[in-house]
Amino acid sequence: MTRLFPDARDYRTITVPIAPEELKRIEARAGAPLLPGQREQYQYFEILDARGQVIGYTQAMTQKGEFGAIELVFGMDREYRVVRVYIQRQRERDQSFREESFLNRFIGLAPADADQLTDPRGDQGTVGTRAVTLGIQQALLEFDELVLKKRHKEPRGFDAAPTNVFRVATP
Amino acid sequence: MKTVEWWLSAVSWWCLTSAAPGALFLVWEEDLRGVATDWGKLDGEINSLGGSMRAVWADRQGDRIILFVRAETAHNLSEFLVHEAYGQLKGPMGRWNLTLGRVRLPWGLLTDWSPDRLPHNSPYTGTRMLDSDNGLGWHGTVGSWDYGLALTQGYGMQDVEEFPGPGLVTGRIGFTPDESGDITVGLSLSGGTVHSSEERPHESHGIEEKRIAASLDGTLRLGRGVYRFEGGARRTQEEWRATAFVTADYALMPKTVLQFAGQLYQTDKSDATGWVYAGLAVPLASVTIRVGYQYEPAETDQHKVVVQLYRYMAVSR
Repeated sequence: MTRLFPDARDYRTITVPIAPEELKRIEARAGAPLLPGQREQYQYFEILDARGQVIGYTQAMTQKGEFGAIELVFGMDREYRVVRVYIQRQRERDQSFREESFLNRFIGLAPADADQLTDPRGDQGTVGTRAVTLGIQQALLEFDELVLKKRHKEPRGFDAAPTNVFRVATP
Repeated sequence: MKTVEWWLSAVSWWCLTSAAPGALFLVWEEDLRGVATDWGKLDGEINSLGGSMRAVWADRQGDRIILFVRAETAHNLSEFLVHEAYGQLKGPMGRWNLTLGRVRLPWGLLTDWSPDRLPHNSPYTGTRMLDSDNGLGWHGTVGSWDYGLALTQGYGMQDVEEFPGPGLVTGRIGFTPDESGDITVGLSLSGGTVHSSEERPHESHGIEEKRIAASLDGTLRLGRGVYRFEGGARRTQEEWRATAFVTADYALMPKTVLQFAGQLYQTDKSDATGWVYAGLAVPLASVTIRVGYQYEPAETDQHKVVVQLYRYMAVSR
């Protein structure tokens, strides 16, 4: 994660259950179903500075490639814009989706842009570039539906600790 | 002795009954196998049913406490093995982690790979000290380097006979030179005294053996293939044993992976021998079917054909 956020001091794992109606909305917006194993829970990581303040978010996604899973990781800044994407594991014949020139096309995207997201390679796209595009799109949509929309409904601030953080009682 | 057993039980119980961890990860594995040997014997068994549970708690500075348990029942439910049961204090960004309990020893390819669910021989029977052991672990990742050090009792997964026990030190340092993670290399060292009942489980009381071991490991991910190597030597009492192990996975087609593995070993008192394996893996959703052939000239059953049905399920909440 330091590759995405060199100033990060630590991270916090957040797991959010996906309700059936939320799953329907996410899949309808993406135009594709989430993979088995990704349909019940959504997980992301809050990246923290030395004071415990959130300085960004990291998401790890798995998508189907031609020869197996493609694991990708991307970071978002505090404004929820993609700052960097990298490929963690893959075993594809076509390797063009690993090129910086392709991955950099996603930098600056925000969850609000995800509905219109298409493979930057267009007709020249491969199984790999389409898988990476779909993975980023679904992750952004999940963040939008399961995190941002819920935050807008709640009175607490964006940096408030999530409910799964244990606290030391103060006198 | 009772302290160690109490701690293992406490970690297991806490993990199983923890009411509200920040994140909970559950894994379930099923491994069914059929084996045919050159004497015409056909044998089938539930090789393993098992799983793991990882509970993570965070404080305001990030993920902090992790409890982990991994156990299985093996060989037609005849054995129950607790491979890991530990509590972990995680440092910032995982640069350091302290673990206490039954930990997997930091050794060779095992930091990122396991032979447990593969249908060929394990390369570790002859090369290393123990699989898991009770004690204190320290591991982490700093930049391109990762490290692990374990100070353990030396009993492995067998009964703890006394505290602190014979004593074993195991360590590994690994290096990943580029960001892609396509290449990793590591050096492992171990020394101490182990209770050899780990390798002779049918003996009621094992003997204590002084051992030292060293190994070099490497992993290369190149295109559709993953290639692994581990070579090293172990000295037990007065005998040296050298080994070299290689394995390769190559995605031949979208649902077909070729798998090769082989190991050579030689002691200072015997000729070199080993085994080779070639097979296919067909991943289908959560189930993987593996079919392979193993040749091991030193064994009575030199030829072995294995069919494996392996299922893996993982959930989090």
